Amino acid sequence: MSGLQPKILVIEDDPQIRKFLTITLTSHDYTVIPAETGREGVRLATSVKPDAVLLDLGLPDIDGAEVISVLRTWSKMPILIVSARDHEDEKIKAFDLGANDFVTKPFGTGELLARLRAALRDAIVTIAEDTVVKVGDLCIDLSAHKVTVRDNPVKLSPKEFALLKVLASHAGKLLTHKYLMQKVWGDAHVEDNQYLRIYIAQLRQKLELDPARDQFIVNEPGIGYRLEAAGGSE
Amino acid sequence: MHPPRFDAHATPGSRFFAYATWWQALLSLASVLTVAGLSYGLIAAGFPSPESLGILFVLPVLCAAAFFELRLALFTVVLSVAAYNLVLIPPLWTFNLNNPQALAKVVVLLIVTLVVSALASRLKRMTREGQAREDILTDLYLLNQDLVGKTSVKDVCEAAEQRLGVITRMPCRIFLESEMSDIRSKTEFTPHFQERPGQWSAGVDPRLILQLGEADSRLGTLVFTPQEGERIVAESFPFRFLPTLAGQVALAISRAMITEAHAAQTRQADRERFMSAMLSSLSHDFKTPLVGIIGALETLQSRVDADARDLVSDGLTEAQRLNRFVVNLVEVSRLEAGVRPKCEPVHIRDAVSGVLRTLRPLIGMQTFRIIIEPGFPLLNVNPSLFDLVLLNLIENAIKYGPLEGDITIEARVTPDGVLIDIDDDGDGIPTPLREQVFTKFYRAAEGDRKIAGTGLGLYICREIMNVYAGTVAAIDPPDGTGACMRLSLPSDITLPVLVPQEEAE
Ligand SMILES: Nc1ncnc2c1ncn2[C@@H]1O[C@H](COP(=O)(O)OP(=O)(O)OP(=O)(O)O)[C@@H](O)[C@H]1O
Ligand SMILES: [Mg+2]
Repeated sequence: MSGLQPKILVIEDDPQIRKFLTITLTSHDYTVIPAETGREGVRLATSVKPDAVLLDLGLPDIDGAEVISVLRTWSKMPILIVSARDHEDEKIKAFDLGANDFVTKPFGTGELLARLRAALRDAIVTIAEDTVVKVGDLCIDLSAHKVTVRDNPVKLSPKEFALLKVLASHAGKLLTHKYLMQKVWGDAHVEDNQYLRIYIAQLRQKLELDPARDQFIVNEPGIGYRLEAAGGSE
Repeated sequence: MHPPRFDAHATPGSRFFAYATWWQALLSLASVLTVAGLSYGLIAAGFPSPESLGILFVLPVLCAAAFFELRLALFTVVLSVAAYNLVLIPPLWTFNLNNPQALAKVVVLLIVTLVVSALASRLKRMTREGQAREDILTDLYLLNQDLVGKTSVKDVCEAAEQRLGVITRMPCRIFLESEMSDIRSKTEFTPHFQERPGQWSAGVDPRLILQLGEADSRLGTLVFTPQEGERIVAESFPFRFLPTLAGQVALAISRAMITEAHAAQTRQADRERFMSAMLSSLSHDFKTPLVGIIGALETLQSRVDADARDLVSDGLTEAQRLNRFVVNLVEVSRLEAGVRPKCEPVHIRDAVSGVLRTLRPLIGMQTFRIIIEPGFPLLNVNPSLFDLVLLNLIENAIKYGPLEGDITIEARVTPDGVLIDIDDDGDGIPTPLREQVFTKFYRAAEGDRKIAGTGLGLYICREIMNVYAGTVAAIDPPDGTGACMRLSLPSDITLPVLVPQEEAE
C-alpha cells in the first residue's frame, strides 16, 4: 500500500460487530472511521473521503440502498456490502446500484480482508498481462498460458482458459455474469449466461481436483463469480 | 324425511298386549253384568218405567270406547245388546227377536251404541294426539335448550345422547361420520348396519338406526339400543317424532362443526403470527451476536498461542454449527409460513462446490467424489434453499460417516427428471427408521452417539423438496454399505442446456 494507511468507513449499527471490525482492520494497517447510522455515514464519507466503504444493509435509519445511491452520485470509491444470507434480493439490488462486492454474515476475517484488498487493488491498479496469479493451490501463468494445481499441470481449452484468465486478472473480486460473458464471448452473448455456468462447471471439473479442499471459484447466486482461495487467504 | 316405517316383525304382539286385552274384555263384561244386574233389580223392585232403563246399556259401551281400543268397544256393543235383550225384553232370560217390537228395540240400541263407540274412540284419538303433540313440543324445546350454546361437536353429541335417552327411555349413541374410520366404533356398528338413509332399519337387529344429515352430506348415525325383551314401536310416541328430533341434532352438530373449523382457523392464524414474530426475533437476537462471535473468534485465532488456538478453533466450530442451526430454523419458519423465494438456474457443480466450501471446517480425512452425468441440466430452484438441502445431506454424511470415509455425490438424468444421490459409508440408517428420520426434531441415534444435532436437517430437506415437487428419501445403498440419500426432481424444473460446440484445439 502506498505510504498512508487506507481509510475505511465502516457503516454498521451493531456495536459488537463494529468493534470487531475496527480491531481486525486496525491490526491489518487500515484506519477505521466508524459510523452508526446511514446519515452519519453519508456525512462522514463527504468530509473524510475514505478509500473504501464497508456498509451494512440493515441500518436503522435509512435504507442501505439509499446510502449507495447517494455515494455513487459523486464518488467511485469501492463499496463493500455486509449482508445477511436470507436477503438476496437486497444484495442483488445493491449490486445493481453500484456496490462493488459483499461479504455474507457471518463472515471470517480472512474473507473480509481478501475482499477489501481486492476492491482497493482494483481501484488503484489493473494486473499486468505477464503476472503469475496464485490462488491457494492454484497457479495461473497468464502470459505462458499455463495452469497448475499443486504442481499438476491442467489442460484447458482456449475458451476455458479465456474465462479463467478474466477471473484471475481480478482475483478476489466479484465479476458479474454479464461482465464475464462479454469478456469471453463478446457482446452478442451478454444476456445468455447459461453457457457461462456450463463452462464454470467444466473449469471446476478440471481445477477442483479434490472437491473437499479446492473451491477456487466462488459462486454468488444471481450475481456472478469470483476466483478466491477458501478462507480468503491468498 | 320419510315418516317412520315399520317391519312386520315389529308389530305389537307381545304377551303384555294380549294380557291387557283380556283384562279389558273382563272389565267390559263386568260393567255389562253390573248394568244388567242393576236393571233386573230395579224392575224386580217395581221400577215404574222399565223401558227407559234401556239407556243404561249404552254406558258400558261408552266407557269401553273411551278407555280401550275400538275392537273392545265393539265387543262391548255385542255384550250390551245381548244383555239388554235378556233382561229388558220379555220373556225374561231368553233371546227374543220374534216380534217386530223386540227387533226394533234391539236394532235401535245397536245403532246408538255403535255411533257412541265410534264417536268416543275418535274423541279419544284426538285427545291422545294432542297430548303427543304437546309432549313432542316439550321434548323439542328441552332438546334445543340442551343443544343451544354448545360450541364443540363433542358437547353437542353428549347433550343430544343424554336428552334423547331420557325421551325414548333407552340408551342412545351418536356415531359421527368422522369417527367411522375409527376401528372401535366400526366393529361396534357394522354387523347389522343397513344403509337406509332417513329410514328405520329394524328386524333381526333390535336397535333403531337413524341417519343424521342428508344422504349426500351425512354427518353421522343415531343408534338406540332397547333393553332386553323390549321392542320399539316405530309408529308410537315418541319414535314417530324421532326424525324431527334427529334433524334438530344434525343441525346443532353441523353448526358446532362450523364453529370448530372457524376456531381452528383462528388458532392457525395465531400460530403463524407467533411464528413470524419468533422468526424475526431469531434473525435479530440470534444471528447478530453470532456474527460478532464468529468474527471475534476468527480474529483471535491468529493472535493466540497454539494451546489457546485449539480452544478458539473449537469455539469457532461450535459457533458455526449454531449458525447452521439458526439458518435451518429460520428457513423452516419461512417455509412453514408459506414464503417461496425466487428461482434461478443453478448448476449442481456450483452448488456442491459452494456447500463444500461452507462445510470445510468440518471436513477431516474424508474423500469426496463428484460424478455428474454429461448433459445434466440446470435446475430452476432457489439457490439458497437448494444449497441448504445439499448442505444438510452432506453434513450428515460427514457427521455420521467414518473419519476417513468416502462420500460420493452423483447426479443423473432419468426419463422424468433428475436424481442426485449422496452416498456415505457410515453405519447407515436402519430400514425401519428410513421414513421416521424425516420427521421434525427426530434423531435416530439418540444419546448413544456423541454427535451434535437437532433433528431438523432432514425435515427441512423434505420441506424444500416439496416446494419443487421433488422428493428426498433414504434408499438402499447401491454399494451395500452406509447411507444413501436420494434427491429427485421432476423434469419441469430442469433447464436443459446445449453444451456449446467449442472451437477445435
Ligand atoms: N448419513 C447418515 N447416516 C446415518 N444416519 C443418518 C444419516 N443422515 C441422517 N441420519 C440419522 O437421521 C437422523 C436425523 O437427521 P437430521 O439431519 O434430520 O438431524 P441431525 O443431523 O441429528 O441434526 P441437524 O441436522 O438438525 O443438525 C440423525 O439423527 C441420524 O441418526
Ligand atoms: Mg443433520
